[in-house]
Amino acid sequence: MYYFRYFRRQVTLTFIIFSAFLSGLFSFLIWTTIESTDDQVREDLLQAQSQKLVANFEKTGSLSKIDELFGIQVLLENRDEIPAKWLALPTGIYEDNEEDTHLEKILLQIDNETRQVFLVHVPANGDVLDNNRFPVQLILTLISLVVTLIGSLVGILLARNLSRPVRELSIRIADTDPNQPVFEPLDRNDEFGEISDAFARTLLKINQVIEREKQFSAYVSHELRTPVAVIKSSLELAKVCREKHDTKASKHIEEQALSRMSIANTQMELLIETFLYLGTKNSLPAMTSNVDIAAILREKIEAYNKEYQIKGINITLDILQALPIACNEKMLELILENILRNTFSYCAGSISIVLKTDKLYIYNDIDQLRIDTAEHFGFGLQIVEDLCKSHSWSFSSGIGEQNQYLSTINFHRASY
Amino acid sequence: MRILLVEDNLELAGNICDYLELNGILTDHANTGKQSFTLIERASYDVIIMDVMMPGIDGFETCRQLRQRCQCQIPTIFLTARTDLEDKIKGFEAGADDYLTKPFAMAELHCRLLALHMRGKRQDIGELSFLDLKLNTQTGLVTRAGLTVNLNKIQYQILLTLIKHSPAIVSRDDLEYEIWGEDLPDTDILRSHIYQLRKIIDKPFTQAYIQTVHGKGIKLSIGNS
Repeated sequence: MYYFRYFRRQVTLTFIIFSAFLSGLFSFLIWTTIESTDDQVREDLLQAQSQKLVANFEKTGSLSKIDELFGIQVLLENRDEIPAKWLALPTGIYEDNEEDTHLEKILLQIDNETRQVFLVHVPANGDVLDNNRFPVQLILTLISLVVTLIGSLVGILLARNLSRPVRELSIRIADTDPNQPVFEPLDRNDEFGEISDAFARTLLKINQVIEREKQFSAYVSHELRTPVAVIKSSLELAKVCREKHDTKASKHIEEQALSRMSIANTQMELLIETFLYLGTKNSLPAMTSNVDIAAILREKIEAYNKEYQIKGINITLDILQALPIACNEKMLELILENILRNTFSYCAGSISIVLKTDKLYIYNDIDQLRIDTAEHFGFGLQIVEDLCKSHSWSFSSGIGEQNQYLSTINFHRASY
Repeated sequence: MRILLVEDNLELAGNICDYLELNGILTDHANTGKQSFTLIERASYDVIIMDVMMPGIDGFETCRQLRQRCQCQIPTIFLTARTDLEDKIKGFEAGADDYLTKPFAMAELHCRLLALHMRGKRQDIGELSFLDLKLNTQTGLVTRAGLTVNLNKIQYQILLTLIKHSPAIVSRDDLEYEIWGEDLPDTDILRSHIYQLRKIIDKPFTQAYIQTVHGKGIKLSIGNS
């Protein structure tokens, strides 16, 4: 409400100043016009009278008394008292502001002598304009005030009218929940409607970004909780085992706890690296080098096999001796880590990995339940797909031959 | 005490099993919800620890099916990475008795398991019984010595309260509150309902089960009809 009033005050003040300026300017122009018209009339009058005087002088040879209706006096050099400054003037029509008079200087040959003759108009004697100066000024001032007042009223009305959608807009904006920024635009076809539409669209985009961030945070939190739980429980278990004082069984359990902790730690490292990549992938430089994918793959398989040895997984490998590919080494590692982690985690018996010149195949025996509900462990695969896309590789996964789960990466080497 | 752990993460499952067994608790492990049905049919458990995100049927659905379809009375605790309030509500609505989020302290899990075990089986699920008197909460069927007994709504409510609390004494105030809540009747109508219930449950048989303990309330125990 305060802003609305402030806005109205601002608009009203603007209209008052603007109207006052306009009406003042208008009055000034009118006054100037009247004044210049008055001067012109006097000058014309003087000119007419001087012509009349000259004509009469040429005709009669004497300076007869001219019509003094308009208070025009005829002053002759050496006869009448004439201010020195007038005498210094060349012939012509002048306005003497000090004396508030208009005069015209002419030269006449009187008695073989050139003498200066002045026709002087003295306004004090019945000048219409001077007599009506105050009423005219008063009328003009009143007109200015009325125009200013009307301008202010129009300003208030316009301010009210203009501020209505602004007020509605500001109320809706103030009511918008920052956690769920959804905004209903104003149902208007004018500029305010366009502004509110644009604002609603922007908020919708912001909302989508917030939702995506929330989901990502929830996913990260969820994915990290399990390995953290494993590490924490392993530590507690190891501590309990140590308190049991070296029984054979507790020693064995302690070793298993440490092994599980190692697996969870590896998973967590991988998750963190992947999340960091996903969080900054747009700003990562696309540094590529010639990387031997076969060597990295063998190294990773060996590491995972060691970690998951308690599952007794049967692994078959058909991997080329060496397969150099131009790619970002870190991203390749993330891809292989994610895909192998899924493979080993969900393996129910055997894994077969085949690396050819342009493709990597990973066959995995997972139980039927897991095949039916592949979406439950699809987060890692989604990440693999995103990472592959960043290299223009393609990734696919699904049920392959003999009811095995098959993951394939096509490196598109033909395009290199 | 015997525990059933339903968890698809082998590392976490291994740790929990080892920890509980070191504390003298027998633990069986199921990888999936479906496996848990098989194990529950085969063996008797005191408490179930259930993960939520599992392949196949998730933990919520598994628990729901155990309660509704199998009328499983075993107290169940959810152990999950899902920490949202919505998930917790979903868990309890599915029939959970407790909810613990990952990461957790093993000692806390242990304490919660002991507490659930002490509390005993769920009395609001499946068939409740007192000797040969049986009451099925799902079907509403009441039998004594194999004979079906027909009860009206209030009589059923009285019997259900007495069986749930047996062998403890239930005060008249508690009984009235169970039946009518805050809107208590003006007259002593409870006495009349108990009289009718005795006529139906006890009179045809030699032993009376509904006993009045003067000054304290009513309980189920063996007496002469």
